Amino acid sequence: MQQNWLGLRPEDLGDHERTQLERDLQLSAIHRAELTFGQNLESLPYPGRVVVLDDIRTYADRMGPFSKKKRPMTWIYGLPLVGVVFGMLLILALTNQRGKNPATLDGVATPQPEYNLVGEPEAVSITAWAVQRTGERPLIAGEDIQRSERLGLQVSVKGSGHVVVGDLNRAKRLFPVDGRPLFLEEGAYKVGRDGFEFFDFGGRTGPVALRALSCVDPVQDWPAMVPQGCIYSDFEFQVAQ
Amino acid sequence: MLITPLEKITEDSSDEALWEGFLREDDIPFLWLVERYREQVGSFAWRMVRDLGVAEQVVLETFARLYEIRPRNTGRFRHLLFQQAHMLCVLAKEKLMKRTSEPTPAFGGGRPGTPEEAASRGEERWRLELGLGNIPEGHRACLLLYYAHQLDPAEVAQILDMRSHQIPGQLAYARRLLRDQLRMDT
Repeated sequence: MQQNWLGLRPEDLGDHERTQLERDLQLSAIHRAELTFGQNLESLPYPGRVVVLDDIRTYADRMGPFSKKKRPMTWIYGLPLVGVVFGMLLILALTNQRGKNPATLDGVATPQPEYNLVGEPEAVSITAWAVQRTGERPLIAGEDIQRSERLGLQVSVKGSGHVVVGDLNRAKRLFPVDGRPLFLEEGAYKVGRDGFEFFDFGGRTGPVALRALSCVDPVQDWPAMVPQGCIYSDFEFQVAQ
Repeated sequence: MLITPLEKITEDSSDEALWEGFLREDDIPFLWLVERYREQVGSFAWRMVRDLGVAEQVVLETFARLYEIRPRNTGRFRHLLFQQAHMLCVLAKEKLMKRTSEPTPAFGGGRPGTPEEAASRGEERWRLELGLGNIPEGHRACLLLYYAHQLDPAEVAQILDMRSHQIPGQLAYARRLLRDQLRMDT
């Protein structure tokens, strides 16, 4: 095992090494020899000229400074920059003093028109199903429903638009009933009164044609013709005698 | 209220007490430190740079830097002093390497002012000087700092940019190199 600690001064040895030296005389002799060999270097003299404090002071004056001295009040160099910034702010404040909002150039704020165009319909379709007490069945276009049955409607929208469902035969709006515009994003929606209710056609007989409109702009009441910017889909069925 | 009286600084005070006295704007303790260490620093510098003129300059600059910069010393003054001296020796050695007009011979007479030249004059320590001059600088510095100038292994490690646990191994190898050099000379 390599014992590098041999030759170190006693104060630099650890307890373990000291114990080893106490127990092993041969090791102790080697250690002493190594230490003595190293300590020979202590006695090496210096043959040069001996310097005095005056020499050092003279050298320091001649060759110094050896460290960069911190400049006092360096913050003062930032003052011009601060001045320029304040000047720019002052100019901006003065030039903007008489500036006006283009919207209020005539002195009165003009109300901006509301943004009505909120979507663009791509396609619309109606799906229906007949509901009775015992359950429900899908209704294919042209099929009959019984007078005891009610009608469920679902509008599928592609794109987005204001959706209205109406009765073509009676030129009457079925949904939404309160006349408010209903904007639908792409998807399938069950439609009806107060959220969702089934439509009752029990008081009628014969053919019924329904139409779903999906329009760019909101539609008032029920239009006689399909307005511009609308797409539509019809669904017909029969109410049996 | 307890007031601790300031320790009176005398020529026999510890290095650290003298240095603290110097930092309190008093040049006399620095004078005593210079008298205490000038030959040690010179001896180290001379054996490191192997040129008496450059060694003297290293001594002057080491003390001049401490005198002017006045660094706060957290350890032993000896460590601070030799850290500065070693750094200046390395710089001086680099300058000497560029000045290749008069190369220092490894053996033989050597140019005036070198340890080789001193050894060749037949002084008692000639073998040791010659051997020391022929081992690599890092090992030479390690030997001198530890044995000749009594620095701790941790202090030596810090000066030589090593780790403390490497120093015993470094010393052992340096002693072996020096012993080999002495044998070769014999």
